[in-house]
Amino acid sequence: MNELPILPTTVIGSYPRPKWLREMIRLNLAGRVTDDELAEAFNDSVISVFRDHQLAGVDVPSDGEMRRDEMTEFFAKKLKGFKFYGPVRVWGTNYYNKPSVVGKIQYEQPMLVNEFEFAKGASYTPNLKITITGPYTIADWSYNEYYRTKYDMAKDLAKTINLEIKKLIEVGAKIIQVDEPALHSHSEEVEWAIDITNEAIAGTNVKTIIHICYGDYSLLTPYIENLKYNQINLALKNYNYKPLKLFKKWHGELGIGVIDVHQRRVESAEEVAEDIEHVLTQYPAKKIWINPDCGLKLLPRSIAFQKLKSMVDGTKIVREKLKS
Amino acid sequence: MFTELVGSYPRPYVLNEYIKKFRSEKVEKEKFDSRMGKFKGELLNSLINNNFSFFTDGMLEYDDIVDVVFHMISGIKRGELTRFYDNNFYYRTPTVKEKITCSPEQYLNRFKATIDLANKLGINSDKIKAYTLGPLTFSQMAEDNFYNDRVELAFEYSKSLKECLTKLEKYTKIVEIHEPGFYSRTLQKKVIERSVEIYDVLKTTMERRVYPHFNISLDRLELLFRLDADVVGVDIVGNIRMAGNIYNKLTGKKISLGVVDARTTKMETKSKIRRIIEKALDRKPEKILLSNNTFLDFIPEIVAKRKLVLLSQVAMNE
Ligand SMILES: [Zn+2]
Repeated sequence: MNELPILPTTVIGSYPRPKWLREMIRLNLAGRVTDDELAEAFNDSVISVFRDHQLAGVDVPSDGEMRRDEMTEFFAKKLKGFKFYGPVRVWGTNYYNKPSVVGKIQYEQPMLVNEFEFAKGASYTPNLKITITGPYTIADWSYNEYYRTKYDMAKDLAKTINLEIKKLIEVGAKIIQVDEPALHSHSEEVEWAIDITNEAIAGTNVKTIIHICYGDYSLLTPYIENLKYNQINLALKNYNYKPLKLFKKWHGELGIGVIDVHQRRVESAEEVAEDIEHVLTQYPAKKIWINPDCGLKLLPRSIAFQKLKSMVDGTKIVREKLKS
Repeated sequence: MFTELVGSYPRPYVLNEYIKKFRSEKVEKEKFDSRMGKFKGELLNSLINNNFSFFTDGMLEYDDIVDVVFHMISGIKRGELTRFYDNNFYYRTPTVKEKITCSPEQYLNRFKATIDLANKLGINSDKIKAYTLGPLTFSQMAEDNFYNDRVELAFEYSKSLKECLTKLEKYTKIVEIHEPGFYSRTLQKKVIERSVEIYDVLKTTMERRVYPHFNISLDRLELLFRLDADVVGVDIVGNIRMAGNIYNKLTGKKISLGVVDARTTKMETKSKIRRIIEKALDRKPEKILLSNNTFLDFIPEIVAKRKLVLLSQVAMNE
């Protein structure tokens, strides 16, 4: 990892797929574009994402998760023990493929190594981030037909995610983010969920980040000191920073969500700067990273780009003030 | 034994694509209605073929049970997307902006279409149940910007709902009242204390079946039996660890026993379901129906279908 400026800016992971990529995926499903051609399109889209992140000025970019349809499904399809019966509705007219665990969960093949190696070659900075869905979230977003308890299922998932993280480190990953948006979904499970997600990064010596978003963060705080990650990044703009005070006991870095990803209104750089200054009244600048609340993939690409640009420009305003 | 489909049936993906087109005004109403009729008809026929005693139309037109309320009651607006208890499923919070009143035209039109369809298919329409959200859960879920009092809100909702039920009586004899928040820790204490009275407001000549969902707490279960209802839902399969304590409370009660679990794709075995039924019958409930324990939306359609077939096979002693 190269040295980063104070208040490093980053993304959570996902970025809107370019329209032409969505079209290529559709054509591939219809048999009119070959798998090789689609693979080339995925690679080209990753280059586009890095270019967007670079133009916006993001310090720690990602490849936009261009190759992943959904954050549970992607991994469930590559692990042994899962089965898909069909889509289930998650809200309104939106569905997702919720997998069922029907056998022992086992690691079969590297899941992200190729993706990371391509990203590393395409990135404008060695400080790129790779994201992976956490074991507790995969467990919570799957049906359990096989294990006696959800804990047993999550435990095997932690083993496989840990293996994958170690493979990523072997090929040069320096910043790894584990996505655990479900970590605080069930109050009675939070304590062991934290142990499980810690197992995912056991025996690693790179920078580790955990992404947790939305819901009631106060369910986490009794156990927050047990988390073994270097950094937690959170959705906060959406809550107007009210939950910020809950993390006083946290020993590590805090990633502050300063961009609302559910609204198309683009925050101005000044608004972002003001928000960061508010955060700095409660936490020292050297502990803070700046990010959007969550992945940007559901926004139109132009808006996602403008939001990132505001995030970076707002951060720069604060950096200047900190200098003087 | 009597069997019933409770609440929703998973909306088929193809139908959903059609609903999306209709909502973005890319399909005409007439064409859409005929498509919807086709899917509803298939569901009703398959339930009849499996000897179901009572059923809904699968709630296929509604996104969730809260969405039903937006088609029945006025004075509320769709608010933010909120998690449906501990499920990875979300609904729009009803935001109370003004006085709540009954305005069931949209709901009635759709329900009437279901009844007409049943008649056309030669299905006895007495088997078809209407459905709605109960007052206790409504008072818990709503973002209240008008009454500023959860108890008053629950009573007002009950009054409006009762008016709607009176208008529904023409079409059906049975209504399902869903209370997914009944066992929730966030249901307000003041509301719980008045819940018997809140339910008294709902009295009509219609048969009222009340279904709480999810994790049972035993003291609330006792309260459930005190509500003025003709049948209440008891989810045994989802609360199997405390089943012994639940059985003990069933003597003399009229219940719909949840015996297939709509929150997992794991199939129940016939012997497991039979054991549950035997144990419940041992306590001599006054009336017993067999049902799914919660909304079937939570599992893929293919699994939901298998679970309903299993339920009917057990009921017919196959
Ligand atoms: Zn997120």
